[in-house]
Amino acid sequence: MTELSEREIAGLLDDLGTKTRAAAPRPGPDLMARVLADASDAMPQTEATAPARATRSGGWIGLMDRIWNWENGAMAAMALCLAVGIGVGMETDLSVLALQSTAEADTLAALDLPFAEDLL
Amino acid sequence: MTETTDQSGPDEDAALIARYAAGDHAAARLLTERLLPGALRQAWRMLGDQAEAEDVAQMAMLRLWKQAPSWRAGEARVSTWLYRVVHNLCIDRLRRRRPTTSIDDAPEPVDPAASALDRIAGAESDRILADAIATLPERQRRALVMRHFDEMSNPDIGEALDCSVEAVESLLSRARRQLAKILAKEREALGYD
Repeated sequence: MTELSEREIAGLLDDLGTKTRAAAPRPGPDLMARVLADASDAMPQTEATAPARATRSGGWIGLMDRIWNWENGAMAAMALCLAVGIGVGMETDLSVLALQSTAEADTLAALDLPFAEDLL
Repeated sequence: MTETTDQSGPDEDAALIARYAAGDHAAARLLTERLLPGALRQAWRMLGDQAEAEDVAQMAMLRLWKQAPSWRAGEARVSTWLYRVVHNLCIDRLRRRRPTTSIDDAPEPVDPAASALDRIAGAESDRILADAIATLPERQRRALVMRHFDEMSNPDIGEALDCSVEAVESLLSRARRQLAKILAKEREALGYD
């Protein structure tokens, strides 16, 4: 029973190694994308990679800026005020408008409101 | 040479790590193209399961990204560092697998990496060789696998195993001699007259 030489053993190992490498899977596009997404997420924030942001201001403008990440906080505040104004206008009951416009009325009955009788 | 084990010259991967840490997205892509195939192959060889191997490879790469800012060039080659990370992650997974294996089905606690290799081997001669590799002492087996399967240089193997190049050569030589003894009666099956 003759032993194989070290060279023969090395040859067998190399052959099996070659077969194993040939059979091994290659990274598909999905795995590549996952790894690159990780790389992007984990990338240290440097001056080069940090998003260019203007110095944030305080108060409402700063708050708007932080919430919506808008470059111009003042625009955000104005848009919010506009939205609130429209919302209030749409939701206000017409009867309230009537009350507001009757400063000179003497009695509730004179207002001719549907619920006036309940009040009296 | 494999993608993970380009041993000659300066560590180009370390330069790419520095570029990545400085915010260079292109460096991340280059590193991924260079390192991911080897990491996946190593994990697949150890685990024998592609989905698990992909998870491990991704996890190992994530550790690399997180390590990048504090990477100290010259202390370790990136590919060798990654090899160790993949190895440890695979060992963790294989340990978690053990409780699901019935005692009757697990005759000896052989190295799971070699078991996966045994599954990969198709031909009878390959199986005989894989079985013989599985019987080697752990460090001899790891050195052998790194040399012949992952095509790593002796210095890189030494770095991975925390030993000198001379110790690696000794490990490899002893492993081959041991294999020669084990396989002496298998000459014919291995294709030798």
